[in-house]
Amino acid sequence: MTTSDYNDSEEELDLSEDELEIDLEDLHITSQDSQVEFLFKSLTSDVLWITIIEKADHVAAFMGMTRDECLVLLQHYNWKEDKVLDDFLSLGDEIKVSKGLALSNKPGHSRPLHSSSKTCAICCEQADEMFHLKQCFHEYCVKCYTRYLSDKLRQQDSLILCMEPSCSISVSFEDLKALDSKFSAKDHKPLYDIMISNIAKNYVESNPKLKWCPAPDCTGIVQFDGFNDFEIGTLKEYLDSHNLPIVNCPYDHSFCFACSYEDHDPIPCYVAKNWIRKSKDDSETANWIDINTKQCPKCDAVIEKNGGCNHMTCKKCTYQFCWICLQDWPLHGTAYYNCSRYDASAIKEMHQKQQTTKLSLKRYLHYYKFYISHELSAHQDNDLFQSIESRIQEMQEDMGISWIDCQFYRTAMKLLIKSRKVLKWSYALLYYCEANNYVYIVETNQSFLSNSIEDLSHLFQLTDPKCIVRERLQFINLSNSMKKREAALVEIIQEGLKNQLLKVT
Amino acid sequence: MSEKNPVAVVFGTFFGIFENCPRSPIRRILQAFLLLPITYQTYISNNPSKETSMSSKRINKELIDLGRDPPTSCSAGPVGDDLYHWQASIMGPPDSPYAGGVFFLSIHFPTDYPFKPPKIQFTTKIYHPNINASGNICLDILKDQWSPALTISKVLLSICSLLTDANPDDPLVPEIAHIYKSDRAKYEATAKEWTKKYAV
Repeated sequence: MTTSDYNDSEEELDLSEDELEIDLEDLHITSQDSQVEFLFKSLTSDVLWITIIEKADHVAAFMGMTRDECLVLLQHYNWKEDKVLDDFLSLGDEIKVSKGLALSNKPGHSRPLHSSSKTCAICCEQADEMFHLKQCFHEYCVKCYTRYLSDKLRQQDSLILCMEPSCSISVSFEDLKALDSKFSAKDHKPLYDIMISNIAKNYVESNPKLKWCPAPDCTGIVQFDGFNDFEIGTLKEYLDSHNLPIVNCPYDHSFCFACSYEDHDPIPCYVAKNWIRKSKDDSETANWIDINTKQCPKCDAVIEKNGGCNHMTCKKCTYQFCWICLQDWPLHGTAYYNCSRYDASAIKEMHQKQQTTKLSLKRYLHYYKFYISHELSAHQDNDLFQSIESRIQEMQEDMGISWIDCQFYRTAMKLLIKSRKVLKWSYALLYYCEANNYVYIVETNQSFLSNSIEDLSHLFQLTDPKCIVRERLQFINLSNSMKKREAALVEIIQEGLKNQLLKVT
Repeated sequence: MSEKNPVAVVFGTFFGIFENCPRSPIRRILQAFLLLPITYQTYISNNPSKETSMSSKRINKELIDLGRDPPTSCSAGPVGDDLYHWQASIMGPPDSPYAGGVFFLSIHFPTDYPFKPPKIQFTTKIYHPNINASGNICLDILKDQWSPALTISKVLLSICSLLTDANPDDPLVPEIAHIYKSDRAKYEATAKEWTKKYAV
């Protein structure tokens, strides 16, 4: 809420009740309290690589080694510069031997001679060209070495040793370049490039402050830079005070830094996680089937009994059996319609269980329907978002409107997508909340936001650039009011969670 | 392969004699040594694809090398016509509770051998912390530490040394590893008993 908003509402309230005004003031103060910012930087993989190289160069300058050697060393030490330097100070150049950068000079470790035969020990073929790592002399044919390295690189290894099991020399960038140069660029993905991305992966995974963007095929990275409030030191403390670290990758995908899932503001990570798992495995439907149906003992057809006696005849295989004990019906002999295992309390219990499952399923489906329909609409909005660029271009070219004057259209679209996300997740949250008056307030806010979204969405159905420009003011007004309603819903949910007015089960 | 391998036929009839006494110790020892002559035989692959032609060439080479320079305590060779399915035998190392036993293993080569490790299982029951009831072996070089430069003979030697020195800190059967660490005498007694029961 901006200050001007606040003043507006204050004036309004002045006209009504004084008591309410105080309430609202309190609310505002607490919301100000919670505004600890999560600071982050979004990096592209190229920028990340520069950071990695800088780190390696720093170590390299100190130890008088090459950058490539230091990249290998840093991986061995989990990218901890101080540990590399400590070991360097105690071991000296021996560190190179111990981490597979050079062969030992001790007697007994003499370099093997080049074998005169040109038969590769791996494929047993007469090879045209043999290859060995620069630091050691274990020769295999170019084809086999390339195959071995690309297999290893595909498994995302970034520390690869010589193919000879007794040799501990690491494969270097130089070796990869040498191999790459033997193939034409057309049908060979350079091993060098894969190595770079593997090292970057290794770097990101060993650093808890870095995370990959979870969007499909996105190579963006987000770096966590602490908080603007010194009282909060760790991510856990930040989460515990009902904040969400929503970040944006350089390609504009927003996600939650804590759980690496898409932006699920305003609901907490664990609720989002539960909801996703639930909606994925369709457990409610399975529960219902489990409680309300039985399988024919003979043909396994699924049967729901919606009335009548316990004497069942399977429609599929005409097998006759007792619904209660699932035994052959003629076995029941003279005790027809009264299964010997009949137990009144058990039946009652079963009915009760059925009833609660039915209710819980109904409840789930209610929220799921809203959730999924907004998710689908969000997908359609995203598709639309791809196409609006061309519409904007049309507006600019055909009608001579400046770029800046067309931005309202793009902004409104972005806001629409964001609001839909908030609304979608709020339904998931309510499924887990116990019903009370506060839930009712949230629901009211939900419907306000939902109405705004629908209005704006309706406006986006205009395709004629002239109409769009004519309705410009309408776009701006609707998206602004939607934004306010979204903020109100987020705030009310956050307050509810913080003050335990919304009880998540 | 359309024609039957003559060596395999002779080998097969020779085995037939012992068919009626499946647990006979003579059979086991003969079986272990008779595997050797077959290693001289080279096989022709009936699948001409690039991948299999490469792996079959390499497997043939290993077969020839095994015949030329057989390891002292183990032997290996194909079962019947299938070059990709071998049987191997390991003599229990003399300084271990498995001494005196002959252990059989089955080896399956993947078509992308040697870039992928072979699948090796014990077919003889054995009491060992790194080998489970279905004969699977927990050995790093058969998994992520595999290198295309390794051969079956090197792998069998590694398995031999695994029999001498078990690795109880990375067990496949935690119960046996626990006994191995806490009551070494009991472990050795059980291992000896199993060897006597299943491998002699």
